[in-house]
Amino acid sequence: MNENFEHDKLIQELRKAAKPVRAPKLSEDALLSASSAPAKTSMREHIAMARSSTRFSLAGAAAVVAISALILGSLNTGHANIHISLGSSGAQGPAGVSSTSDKVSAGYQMRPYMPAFLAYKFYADSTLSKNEGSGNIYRVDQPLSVAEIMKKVSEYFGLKTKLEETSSSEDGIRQLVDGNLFLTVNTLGQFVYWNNDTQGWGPCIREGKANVTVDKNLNPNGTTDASAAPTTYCEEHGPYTQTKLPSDSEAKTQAVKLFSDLGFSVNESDISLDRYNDPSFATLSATASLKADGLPTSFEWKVTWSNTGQIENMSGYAVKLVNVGSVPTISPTAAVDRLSDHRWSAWSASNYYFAGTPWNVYKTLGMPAGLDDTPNVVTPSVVAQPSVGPTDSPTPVEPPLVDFRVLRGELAMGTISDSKGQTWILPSYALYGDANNDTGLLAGIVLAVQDGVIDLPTMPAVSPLLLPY
Amino acid sequence: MDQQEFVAAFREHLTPLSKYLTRRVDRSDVEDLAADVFEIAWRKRESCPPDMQLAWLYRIAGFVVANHRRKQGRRGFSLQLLETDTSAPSAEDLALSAGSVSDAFGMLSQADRQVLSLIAFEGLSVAQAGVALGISANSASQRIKRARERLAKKMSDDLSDTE
Repeated sequence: MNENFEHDKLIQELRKAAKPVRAPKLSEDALLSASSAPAKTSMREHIAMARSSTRFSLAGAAAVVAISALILGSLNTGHANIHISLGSSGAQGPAGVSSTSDKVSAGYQMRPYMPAFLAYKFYADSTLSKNEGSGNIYRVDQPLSVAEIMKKVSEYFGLKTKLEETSSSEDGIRQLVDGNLFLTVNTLGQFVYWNNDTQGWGPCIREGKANVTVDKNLNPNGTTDASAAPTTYCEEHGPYTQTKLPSDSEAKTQAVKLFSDLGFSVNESDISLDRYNDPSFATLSATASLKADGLPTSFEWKVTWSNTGQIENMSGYAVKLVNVGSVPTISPTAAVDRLSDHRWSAWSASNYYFAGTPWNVYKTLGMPAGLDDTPNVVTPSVVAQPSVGPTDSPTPVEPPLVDFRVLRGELAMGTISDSKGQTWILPSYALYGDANNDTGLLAGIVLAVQDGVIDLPTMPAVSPLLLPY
Repeated sequence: MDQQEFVAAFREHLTPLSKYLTRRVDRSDVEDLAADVFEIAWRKRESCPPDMQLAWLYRIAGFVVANHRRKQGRRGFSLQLLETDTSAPSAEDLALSAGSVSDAFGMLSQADRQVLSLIAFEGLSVAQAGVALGISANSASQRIKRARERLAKKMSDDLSDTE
């Protein structure tokens, strides 16, 4: 068999039959962001990274979209008469709520974060609250365009590159690059500034040269773009000897000023600090959330200093929260049922995720190869090993079922987004409990609005799980 | 492998990975999923086989795509995540021209489509396909051979049906 199948007519025929792929150009930021996290990514970091860069991916919402119809007037008196209608076709309702009885096109993109290759049976502990209540719905407005945010932040950090000289993706995500400085702004009004501060590491004790190879199959002409040129790099950093990280009080003062300069007014008491120490580098991060109903939202501002005392990273959202009215909410006990239906899922501030980590469940029951945190890839024994053979007799497999007792429900403000890119914040619960001998796990964050407020989309048909061997 | 080395080693794979993902998921999801792939790659970087970065990335991407598809479709029936073959592209994903190749490819199992797409469209060698599938090069060779035979047979059947 020819190694590259160059003379295999069947494979060549297959190649010819496929149309060229129009793949989006990926930014090197994806690599930088991924490698900026600590070696063992915690769930909190995972969630935080999910919010940074392009994660809320509204562009994909049209294909995934969800909700419809909320008519509160007929449900409950004393609350705003808000109507959210299906927005996947873009045909129902204008994009905005201006007063009671107005309509808004909505739907949301679902991003369940639980380790969903396990099946959970959620049940409420008898001590969980059965009290209903009410909460406000907020529309997330973006008073500045992407270009305006880009201009403001780039000027603030002194990036000299002009916007016209940079790339602009079809999704509206724009990036400026000025040497080691990067600035990305997405259509959610989020900016991410990155200073690749290599001086923040300990001294280089071993240099190396990147072994860049060009795959002839992918580069049939043997061409190599400039970005793939051999690069020298530091193979090993020694321990850092001194740090210029600010003290806690200095960090809070600086964060308040930085956030304020770029449009987010916050008090020092609202800022949380996080120090990270590695033998070869150290960082300090300050984080604060926009609040709705006094609760933190997923719209977080964060600044991180490197060892040199320079700002290594800063991100935030140029958004404004507009209260559009009050809605009735279900009890935490009633909300437990919604954990099994990811259409009710929402995002919220990182402090909710930090309180519990589902990775414990992964570690207990085993993770799929390639996704675990252990150095060796181990495939759980419940799964048939790939083998060569006929595929005529697929075998149904039941996923492991884990009991999850929900003990605690915290009020939260959950973020959802619609098919038109409009983002909303709704009253929600962060539900915590025990599963599989682990305690304090976050079961999920689900919307707390009463049934009938949101008319969920139809669930996709569930087909039997079949392994292809 | 430190950050600089990681970036240098994987920079050249941004475009191939983007194409791999575009063949399997909605274009608007590619950047998100690529971020997931690199996040995992960074965590697991020490287990990357030498000179097999791209194939290894495809291995991770296979899980990420399978997980993404499962999330879009359903929750609970989740062991599919453990099979990279569920990340195989369909004939529609590949936008194969109408004809016997497209029809035959569409009739193949996910496992066959996966291994054939890795060599035909991702341009992997047998050994690389093995890494991408988490099997030995010898097993990969056998799978490719059998998948290829099944594709040829289906194309042959298709032709005889139309005659």
